[in-house]
Amino acid sequence: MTDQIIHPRRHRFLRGEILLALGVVALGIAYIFGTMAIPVSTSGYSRVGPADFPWGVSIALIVIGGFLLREALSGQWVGEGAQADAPAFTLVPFAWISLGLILDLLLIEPAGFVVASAVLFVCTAYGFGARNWLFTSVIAIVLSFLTYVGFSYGLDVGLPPGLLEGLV
Amino acid sequence: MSTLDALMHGFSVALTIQNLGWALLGVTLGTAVGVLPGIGPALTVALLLPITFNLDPTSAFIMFAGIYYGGMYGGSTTSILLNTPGESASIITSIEGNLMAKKGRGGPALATAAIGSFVAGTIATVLLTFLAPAVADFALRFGPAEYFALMVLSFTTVSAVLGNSLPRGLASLLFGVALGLVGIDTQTGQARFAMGVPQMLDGIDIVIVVIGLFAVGETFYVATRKTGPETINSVKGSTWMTKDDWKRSWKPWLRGTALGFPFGAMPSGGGEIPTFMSYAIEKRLTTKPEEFGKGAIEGVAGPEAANNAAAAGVLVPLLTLGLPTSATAAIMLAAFQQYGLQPGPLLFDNSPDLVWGLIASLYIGNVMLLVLNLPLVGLWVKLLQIPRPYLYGGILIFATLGTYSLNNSVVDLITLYVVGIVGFLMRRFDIPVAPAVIGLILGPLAEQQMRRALAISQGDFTVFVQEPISAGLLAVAVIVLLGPMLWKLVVRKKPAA
Repeated sequence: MTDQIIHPRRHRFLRGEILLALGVVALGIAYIFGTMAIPVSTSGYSRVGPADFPWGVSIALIVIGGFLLREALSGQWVGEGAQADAPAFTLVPFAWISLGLILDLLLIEPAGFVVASAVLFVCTAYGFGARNWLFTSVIAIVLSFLTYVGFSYGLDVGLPPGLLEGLV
Repeated sequence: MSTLDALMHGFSVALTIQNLGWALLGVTLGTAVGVLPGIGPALTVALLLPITFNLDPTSAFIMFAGIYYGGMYGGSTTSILLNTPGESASIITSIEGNLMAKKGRGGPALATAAIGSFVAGTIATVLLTFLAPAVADFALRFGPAEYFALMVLSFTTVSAVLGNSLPRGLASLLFGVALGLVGIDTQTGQARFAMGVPQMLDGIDIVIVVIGLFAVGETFYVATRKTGPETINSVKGSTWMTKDDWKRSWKPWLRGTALGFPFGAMPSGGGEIPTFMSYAIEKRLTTKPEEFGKGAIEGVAGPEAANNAAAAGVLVPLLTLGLPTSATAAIMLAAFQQYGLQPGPLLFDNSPDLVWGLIASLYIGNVMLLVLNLPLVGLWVKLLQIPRPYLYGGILIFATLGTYSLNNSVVDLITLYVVGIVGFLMRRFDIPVAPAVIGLILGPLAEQQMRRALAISQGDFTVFVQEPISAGLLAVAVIVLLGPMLWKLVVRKKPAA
């Protein structure tokens, strides 16, 4: 194992590793409820119904979540954020890219593929540190437009048209 | 039909102008995505699946195989010239390769990687040619119980091998299996875990999961790390290897091949372990130990060969058993399913054009890749100069395009975003993503085989341990799961005694 130093100021319990382990347990519990909702006919000829394999998966998720929790609490599991040589971490780009993806899925049908993709491109590029709005926007529109034309006419992939697609 | 006849037939399929074109397109795309950080062969095949639906399956697979092999070649270029390796199997290459490039020996490093990849890829393809039919013959004896046992073994080894800890590997795998349960149960028609969302009844498409984990998750991961500017080492001086370079490279190539192929061909997969082993062996056997850690050519030649031989080996369980052991193999299995084909022993009888055309195209692809990667390496280096904001902006446009074009559904884009966040957390907290992809595609197949076996045995669970093959496979799976724990207990007890 490599020497990984745990950051001294890290919270004892509110650590990502622990929350993730609990998340796996929670997923297992949610799957138990989901499994119980599967209608199982008792009269069928097959002795193994649609709920048996899901039962196994749900229980396995809870058990593995438990092992993960042990790994996290014992310090064997150290994510990148806690490693001494890890680069600085910032969630600002995450927010920008999320904004881009959410706007994309909101815009793709009403405004069309080109507008939605250009917005996604600009948000992502901004998240990665591009600050020249105008230049980035021009690249975004040209790339989205060429992609639209290439896929719609070259490969016959149906993409939603919108404001700018009427030009072709 | 003997293997050689079959191979000759394969060449007659692969050497048509049309299929040579697909192979060339595949290896070119593969090299490009291998070179570019942030995208790899698994993601590329996933993005291409929706648009290759109308293509002839043989041509599509020739292209996919080209992408698969090309990704391996391209990945080594990035790991040598850039201080961040593109994929896990080329981490080792980047150690000595990057040091060589810094010393101005980037040319010979690229050459030994490319020629070593060619040598290893070709030898491993020969081994694949002769081993695959034999494995397929043996697999004819497998019934549902054996298949289920084999999948369980594969689940455990994949979780143990891909990643740094067994619980994390298993968590990733189970996440994939759990996602695979969503949708209509094919045997009884009952809806499972669909949460009342009609779009969920068809299940969660593996294409969305691969794009989410590999494109969106990776983009989040890279964007949130404040790293300094990357330094790209330029290729100075001659790209040709000196006589001494050749002398120091050929043995590591062969040893790397001998290590890589068996590791890839076993139902555990993982290109990483053989590269680590190759590096350790070359370090021990070298005549110039003082150069290790300062840019030793053996440390590039061996691991690169191992990496490529393992990549060819992975095709053995994929084609003969329908068992994927890497993320790219998993998405290729999804491609088979898209065409209504089931890889396995019968594929060799039912679709000889496809299987042998594919294998023959691997020989051709290797030759193409050698040409593409040696004289044209300067061209690929230019790809590394695309500014990151535009590269990742473009990746996300293609990610959303590929996802949306599956079903023209916004629900798929929501799924993509959610899976992307999960992928980001997995990357951030050192959980391997490949087992999730394998679990997603293999989980439903494992359930199907289990239920078939139990239907035959009328619900008797001992069916899995009654047949020697399935009992043996399950025993190995148990050893993989519990072995390390028991070993720790033994080691811990010894000093006390």
